[in-house]
This record gives sequence, C-alpha cells and structure tokens, in this order.
Amino acid sequence: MAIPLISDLLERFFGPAEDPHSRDDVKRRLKIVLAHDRLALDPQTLEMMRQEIIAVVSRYVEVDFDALEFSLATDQRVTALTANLPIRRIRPLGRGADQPIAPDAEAPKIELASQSEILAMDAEDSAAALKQFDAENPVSSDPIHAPLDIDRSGLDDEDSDADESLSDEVLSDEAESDASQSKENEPEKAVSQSVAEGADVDASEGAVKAVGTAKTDVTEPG
Amino acid sequence: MSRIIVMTSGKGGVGKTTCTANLGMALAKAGQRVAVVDADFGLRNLDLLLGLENRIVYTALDVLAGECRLDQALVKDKRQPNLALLPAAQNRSKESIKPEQMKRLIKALTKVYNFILIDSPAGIEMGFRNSIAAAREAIIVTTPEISAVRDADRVIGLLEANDIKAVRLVINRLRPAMVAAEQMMSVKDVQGILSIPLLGVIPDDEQVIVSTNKGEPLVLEEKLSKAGIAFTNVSQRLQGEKVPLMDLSIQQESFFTRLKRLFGM
Repeated sequence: MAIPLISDLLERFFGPAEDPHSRDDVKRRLKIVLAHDRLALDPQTLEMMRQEIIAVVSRYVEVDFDALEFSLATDQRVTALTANLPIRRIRPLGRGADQPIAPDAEAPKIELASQSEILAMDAEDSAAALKQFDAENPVSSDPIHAPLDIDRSGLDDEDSDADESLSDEVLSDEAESDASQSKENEPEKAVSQSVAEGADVDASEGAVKAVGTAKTDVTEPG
Repeated sequence: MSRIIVMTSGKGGVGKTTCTANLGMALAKAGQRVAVVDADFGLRNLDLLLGLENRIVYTALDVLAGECRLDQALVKDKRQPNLALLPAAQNRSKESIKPEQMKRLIKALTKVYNFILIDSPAGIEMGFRNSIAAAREAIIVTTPEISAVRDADRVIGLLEANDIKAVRLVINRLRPAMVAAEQMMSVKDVQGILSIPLLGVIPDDEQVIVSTNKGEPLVLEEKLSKAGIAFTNVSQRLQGEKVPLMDLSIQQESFFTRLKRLFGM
C-alpha cells in the first residue's frame, strides 16, 4: 500500500514538471487557428493587408519592426485584427510639401527586410505568400527606391540652408577660395593672352601649373 | 410543436451517436415521444448503440422509394416504447439521399413524435447537409481536444449560416483530474472559445464502452454511472428544467483527501 502511494506522490511532484500546463498551449493554439478559420481569409490577402497597413503607418511614424505584432483574435465569435505597432519616433513632417516622401521611401526598404524575419517565425505558407507577393509586385518596389536618391539630395540642400551658422562658415570659405582662385586666375589670363600674342609654349605651361597648385590650396581649407 | 434537434460535431469519434442514443432514451424515459434518426447513411451505428440492430427490416431509403410505409421502417424499442429508431441504409452512400427527402421524412415524424433527434455523420459534406436540412435546433458534441473544438467551431459557423440559431454545447469525455493538473481544457475554456450556451458535460467513463458492448444505453441502468447521470441531466435541461452542472471536482477532492491521508492529516 505504501509503495504505490509513494510513487503516486513522486509522480505528483515530479510528473507535471516534465510537461507543464499543456492546457495553456492548447488554448493559445486554438485561439489562433480559430481566428483564421472564422475569418476565412486566405494568407495572401492577409499578408497584403498587413504590408499595406505597415506602409501607411510608416508614412507618419517610425515603427519598431522588431517588436511589431500582427494577430487575429476572436472573442464571442467576433474576429478582430489586432496590430500592435510600437512607435520609435514620429517622423518630422513640417519641413516642406515634398518632404514626407523621403522618409516614406526609406521605411519600406527596412520593412521588407525585417518583414521576412517576422514571417520566418510565422507559418511557411505565409512566408511563401510574401515571396509571391514580392514576385508579383516588383514594380512597386522600384519606384520606392527611385525617389530616394532624388529626395536625399534635396534633403541635404535644405539641411545646409537651415543651419545658418554652418552655412555662413561654408560660404566664407567659399568666398576665400573664390578670391584666391581669382587671384591665381589673373596671371593665367595674362599668360594666355601672352601665349596668344607671343606663342610662347613654356610660359603657358608654367602658368597652368601655377593655377593647379592654387587650386589644391583652395580645396584644403574647405 | 415538435423539437427537431440535430446532433453534430464535425469531427468523428467524439461521441455523437452515444449522445444521441442516451439522450433519446433519457427523453423517452421522461415520457417524451422520441424518434432517433440515423442520418449516417453507409456507416450507420445508432442501431448498435441502442441494441436494435437485429430488428431492422426497412430503412429510411425504403420509405423514400415507396417500398414501405414510414411506420414499418421505424424500430420501436421494447425496453422503452416511447422510443423509435429510423434506421439509415448501410449499403448505400451519403449521396443516396437529398436534403429535401430528409425534410419530408422528418416532417412526417413530427406528426407522431415530439422529440426528433437526428444523428449527423462526421464531416461537413452531403451527409451533414442532409442531417441539418430539417433541424430547428442543434447540439454540438465535442471533447476538450484541439481538433474536436476546431471542427466544432467550423460546424457552429455552418449552422449559423444555415439559420439554425438554437445551438447548444455538450462537452464529452471530460477528465477532471487532467483539468486539475492543467493538462486538459476545462469546461469554461471550451465554452469560452466556442461561445455557445452549455447544455451539459459528460465525464469520461469506462462504463460508456461497457454499455455499447451490451447495446444498452447508460441511462437505462438501475444504478446510474457518472456518465449516465450526466446524460440524464442533459435530457432534463433539454426539456427546460434547471439542473445544476454535475460536480465533477469530487474526484479532485478525493485526490486531495488521498494526499492528506498520505501525510497523516
């Protein structure tokens, strides 16, 4: 009598430790699978919806792609699409009318990389769906990269304009270099004139050299 | 007006037929005139669980073919005269009958019987559609297992889409000790997930197999087993009585008392 009771006790204390609470696992798995079953939405459509939502949100805020969650949940036989998109920071929008396009173009680039990471954790079929989605929409990704270059240059110009103290320094440097360049250019003109007049090849070469050294001097302080 | 109730589950092997046999018998015992209809054409089993397999002469198909009258096909139970079985054909497929024909059969039964229980086949195909064609209510039978609950959910959706609004849940084969050990979904878990009213809980009971071996539904026993009590409770709730859920935690308490005994408390 004592032996079976001891084994029973041991099983009680050590048995459940091997497989703790499979009840929680089954509930979690069921909720996910039922949310998908009830919605009756194919994975491709769901994936497209997910990407579009992320794209729209990314236009206004910078989303933490490592922490974002996209899930279907059901309660009382009603299915809800829950998107948890942690915001890193709000995008600066106040600069100009054409400004928002630049950060917007950057975001999908990040998204596509980390998106595949998220999908790797997901079911294989949705990963395949993303590949298919990307394969089907190669055109949409190209225009995203195209305006990136254009707008970057616009962004740089604006930055230098906006920072007045910095731009002043740059301008003064440029003024100096312009001045030195014009000083050095004067003899060249003179020489070239003399070349034209006297056809002295050696003199013109020396003059060109002088201009070259003057130019290197100018670039150094800048 | 007769109650026309389909017993369905989606998944096979969760206890639809056992529930139909016991519920039908319990209702008949309570004085209701009950017809149980086997809608599982090709794989009939309800006759076996009721122990009426040797008394089948005609089937529902023979009635539809005009080879016999409906009352000739109905097998009346000798133990419980209030109960009759309309057998399915065993040598034909589920496609051999159409939803409209099923409706005609059930409508004819409503003239005599006030409870008609339709034992649906597993799946959601033609046989299922036949079985729900005439039903006004449904009892979903499920077990606390992931596949059974998922299939039950699918079937609930299909019933709603087919305008069967009165859908209630019977959770079969619950093992209270496993629930206490957090290794099985509880009644609350399953009901919460499926979100339909609970009609009853049947504990897992070895006596179920014993009763099917004999062809005698559990509710016919003189001293009712746990599952037998649970089936009787379900039948009473179905008739509108307020019966509290069976206390299934008794087994859990007995474990604790055992533990106390072990520590000499």
